[in-house]
Amino acid sequence: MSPERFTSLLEAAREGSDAAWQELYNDLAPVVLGYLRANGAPDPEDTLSESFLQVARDIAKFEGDERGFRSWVFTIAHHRLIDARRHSARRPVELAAEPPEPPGRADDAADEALARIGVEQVQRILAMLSEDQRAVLLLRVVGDLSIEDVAKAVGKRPGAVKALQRRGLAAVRRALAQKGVTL
Amino acid sequence: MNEVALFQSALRTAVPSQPDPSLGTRLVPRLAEAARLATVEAETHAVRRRPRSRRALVARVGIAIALIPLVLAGLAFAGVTVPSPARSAFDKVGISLPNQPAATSQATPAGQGSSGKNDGGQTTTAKSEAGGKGNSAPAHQHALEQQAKAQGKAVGHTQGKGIGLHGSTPPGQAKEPGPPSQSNAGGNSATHTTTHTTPEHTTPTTPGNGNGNANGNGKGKGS
Repeated sequence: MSPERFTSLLEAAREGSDAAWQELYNDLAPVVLGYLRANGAPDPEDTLSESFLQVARDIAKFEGDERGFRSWVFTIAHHRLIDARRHSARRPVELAAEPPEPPGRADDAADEALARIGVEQVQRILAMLSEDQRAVLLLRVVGDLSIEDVAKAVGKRPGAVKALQRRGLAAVRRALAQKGVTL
Repeated sequence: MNEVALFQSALRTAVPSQPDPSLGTRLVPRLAEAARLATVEAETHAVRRRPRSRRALVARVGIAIALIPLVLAGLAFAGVTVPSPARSAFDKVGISLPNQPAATSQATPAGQGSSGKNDGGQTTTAKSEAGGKGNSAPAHQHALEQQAKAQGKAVGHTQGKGIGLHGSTPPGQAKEPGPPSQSNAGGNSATHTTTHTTPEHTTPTTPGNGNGNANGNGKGKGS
């Protein structure tokens, strides 16, 4: 999306245009929901609704481009995830029981990778990671956020985020090696 | 490293999940409404804040300016001599501050000595030269009060009533030498002649000369 297009979309969303919000929702809701579900949100869709309502309430104060908006939405979603975890009873992280539907926009390489590893395998590997490692990897890979944006979202320093990412990827590599997944 | 890239690619594909379509149908109108309300509230808040702060600033400045003359007037009532520019400003609007020195008294510094200082006959001379103006009337009144006190204390004494201030007319106004600052020392005349050390008082004054020193050694009635 061009910067001008995003600016006009944001302005329309501020003014309360249903079409603008529909477009923003269609663009971001799948990845945010995937992030919440993969992080073991107690009620992912409810947390998604809370996150988007918070975005709508605060959109008048937002300033930035599309990348900043994406980072801002993930930051809000991460905070709502923490709130949802606090409100729910303490229980071990359970990833989504139902396999997520692969979006239609995935390219062939991603499809091939998913076919080689498998959705269940991905979920199992994610479950092996620590909470912070999983959040950092998901924000980096799924949310497509920079190190600095991830640091802001999770409330850590960029150095700590880099260390979490490094250790998380090392754990992923070990898990894949154990399962014999190779190219 | 290739395994990690493969995993990341699989992660990008596996994790995103389409929410329930009914959720979007219900949520999008609420999002639009919430954004509209938030934007209107933010604009209203921004518009309302600016004039309020400016109005408050103007009100504060106005109150501060209005308080200045009140403070000066309060100081004047309390007996403080306010600066002459402030006095002249009050005079211009027709308000005369109380307890302020007269404008003419500033020109003759000798006249300022009429405030009860014990400067002896020089002050008396200056006052009489000035035509008995200044604080002679209050001083005279004070002297009368002191005399009344002294008379009360001197019950049974044969001396001390000759203070020379029996008249009700202030000496300065009666074209007589005004009462000196020590004229309120009625009562025992003997003590007065010994306590004053100014050159005028060291020489005993003749009885009944009525020069306004009124130190009690004048008209002793003796009865």
